[in-house]
Amino acid sequence: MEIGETLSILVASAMTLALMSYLWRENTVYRIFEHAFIGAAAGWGAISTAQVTWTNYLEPSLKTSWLWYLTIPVGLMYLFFFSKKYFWLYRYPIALSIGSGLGVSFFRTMKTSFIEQLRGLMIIKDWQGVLLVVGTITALFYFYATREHTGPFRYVSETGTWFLMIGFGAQVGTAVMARISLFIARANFLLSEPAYYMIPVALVLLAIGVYRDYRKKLIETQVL
Amino acid sequence: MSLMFKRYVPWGILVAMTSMVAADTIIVQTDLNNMIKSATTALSIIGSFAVMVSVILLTRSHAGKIRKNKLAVESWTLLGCMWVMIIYGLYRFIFAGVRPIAEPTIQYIFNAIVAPGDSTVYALLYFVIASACYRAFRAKNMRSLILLIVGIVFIIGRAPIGQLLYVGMPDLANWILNVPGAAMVKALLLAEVISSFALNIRVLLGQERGWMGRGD
Amino acid sequence: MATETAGTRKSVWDRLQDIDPKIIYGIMLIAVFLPLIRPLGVPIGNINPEVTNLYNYLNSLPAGSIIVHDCEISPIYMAECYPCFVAFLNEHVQRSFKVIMFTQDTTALPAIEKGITEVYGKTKDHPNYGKTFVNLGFLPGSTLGLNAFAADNLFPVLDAYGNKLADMQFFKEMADKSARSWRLVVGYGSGGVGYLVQQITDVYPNCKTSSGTAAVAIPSHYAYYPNKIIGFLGGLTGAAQFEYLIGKPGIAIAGMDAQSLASLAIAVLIVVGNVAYFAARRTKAVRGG
Repeated sequence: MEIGETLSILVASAMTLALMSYLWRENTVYRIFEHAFIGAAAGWGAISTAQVTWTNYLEPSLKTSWLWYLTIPVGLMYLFFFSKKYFWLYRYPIALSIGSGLGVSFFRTMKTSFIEQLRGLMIIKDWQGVLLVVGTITALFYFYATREHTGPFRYVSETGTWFLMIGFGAQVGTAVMARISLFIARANFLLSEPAYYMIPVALVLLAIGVYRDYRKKLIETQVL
Repeated sequence: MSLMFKRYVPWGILVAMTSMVAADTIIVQTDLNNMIKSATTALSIIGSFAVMVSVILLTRSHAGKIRKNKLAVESWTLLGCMWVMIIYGLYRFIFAGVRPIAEPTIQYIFNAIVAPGDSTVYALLYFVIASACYRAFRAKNMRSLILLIVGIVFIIGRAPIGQLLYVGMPDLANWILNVPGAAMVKALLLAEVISSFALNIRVLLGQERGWMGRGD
Repeated sequence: MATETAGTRKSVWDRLQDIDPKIIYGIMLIAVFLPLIRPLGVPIGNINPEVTNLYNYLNSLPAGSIIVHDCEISPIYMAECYPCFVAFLNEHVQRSFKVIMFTQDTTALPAIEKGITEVYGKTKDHPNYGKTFVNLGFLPGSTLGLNAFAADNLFPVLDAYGNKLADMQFFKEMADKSARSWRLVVGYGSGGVGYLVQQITDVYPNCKTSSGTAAVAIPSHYAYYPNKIIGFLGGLTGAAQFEYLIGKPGIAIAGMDAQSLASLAIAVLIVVGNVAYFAARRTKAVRGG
């Protein structure tokens, strides 16, 4: 393994253990590593976006027509975000971006996430299909806020809450599973070579930290 | 006149952009489709400038902290890491033509700091969620009892151990996902689509001006 | 030393509820580290229907079918989505499929490189690069960019390494350089697959949608499965089951013991917490009454 790669893995292990030290309590080491991560992530995002935009889009486009040079001042209008007097110029590139996002999903969202969903509900093959339709409609009624939920309407929305609770139980279960998987990957990394060499270092630093906390607590309670 | 350029022209641009792109999704017409393709390239270029705003915001915020306290180690670390990445990455790309993904030093920094940092921050949620499950997850009424039972069925049922404890557990978890769980997801999706469609119409009609930010 | 009166004395159930969180953290650490150091050998068990359906669909495709991966595998989702990605690539190599990879998240670029290196051995220097697999790298423009790419596969102009797409054998062999030639598009991350169904499957019905999703997004897939999504790999468990089906055990199967023990630990904690809560309430009621 190259020395650069080894050093990179050791720093990655130190980063993992430093961030995990938050489980004991928030501390300076954790804050320093956290800020290093935020800075490096912002830096990475900036340079990779800049490189891809230049290589794949701007450079080839500029060779075809001078009109593409206009994208640069329009893009620089984002910087008016910081101006009090000319903040309104920032709205121009934002309008382009939001407009395009709205346009591309306007009809397609209605088709895929509304019409097709309703069409799927109309195909009832068995009792489970009936349960699905009943569950969807009653759960939707729970969110209906134009009318108070009284009388027979109350039973409809209450039935909906049961389906919502079952669905949220499923969400909780899958969220827990997801978090477990996240930590398994970190644990696997910490147990790999040469990352595990940082574990004894971290344990020693943790022991020193715990001892110092204990002494501080004793002093505060004036035992010492 | 100033209100025209401050409010109505951006709104007009938004409506025009939405109309053209929406038309492109349903109309097959070569000139329109080519125009929108060029617009997409232009928007990709314009949109990438937004990353400058986040870099400047971070720099301003932490430079302010350093001005108040010269020993703000965390702020020095953040600004140091960010600007070293940016300056070195751009220098290597402009003068040596090496892309950031192929530059070894940048890759080492990414693999040493960004990747483990991102993963670990979210991996800590494993402990937070375990602690929350123990201390806060209480079956105080029938509905929360159902939520709890379904949650436990999922936590165990979707893992291999579920089948060892009760042979029908994975099938029960799958049935819950396929029927009552799917009902809930469909209901939330339909509600979300209706409300986001209503919000989009309000934005297009100019009634929703939150996207314009502060000022007139 | 002051003695506690009966009114202020904490019962064992109250103490159990107020346990120091660090003890819980310690239990959870052991629940993950122990099976990784000493595997328990828990069998994979039944394969979920969505994984089987996906596997059967892939088996029905002829060699040379084009599969497209939208790899939103940022470091946050590396743990769950990267094993899915590698399992998919291993299957594509086995079945001689053609693969296009791209991402709309700059932090996911290294994951694509790592996955290609792990499965194919090399990236741009591989003899089949540009013939059977292509890495387009970062595709900006979010949904608009995806829409443009689906309509014209040459829209990104260059791949991740600066090579012209129009010069590649991969794209020269495509009769229709749009998503009409695709047979499957795979999404990753926790954003669900609604946007892929919207932009790809509903517009180009020949191309089905699937995903290697984070477990937290599994319920949201059931709004589209099985009508719009052919199947998907749900988190680490889904990846492990797919690895089992294709006969190439990897990191997902290796993590299943830890997944099982940690899941059991959390379930036990929930039950113990609730037992302590109700027992404490009953004790207070008995003492008070």
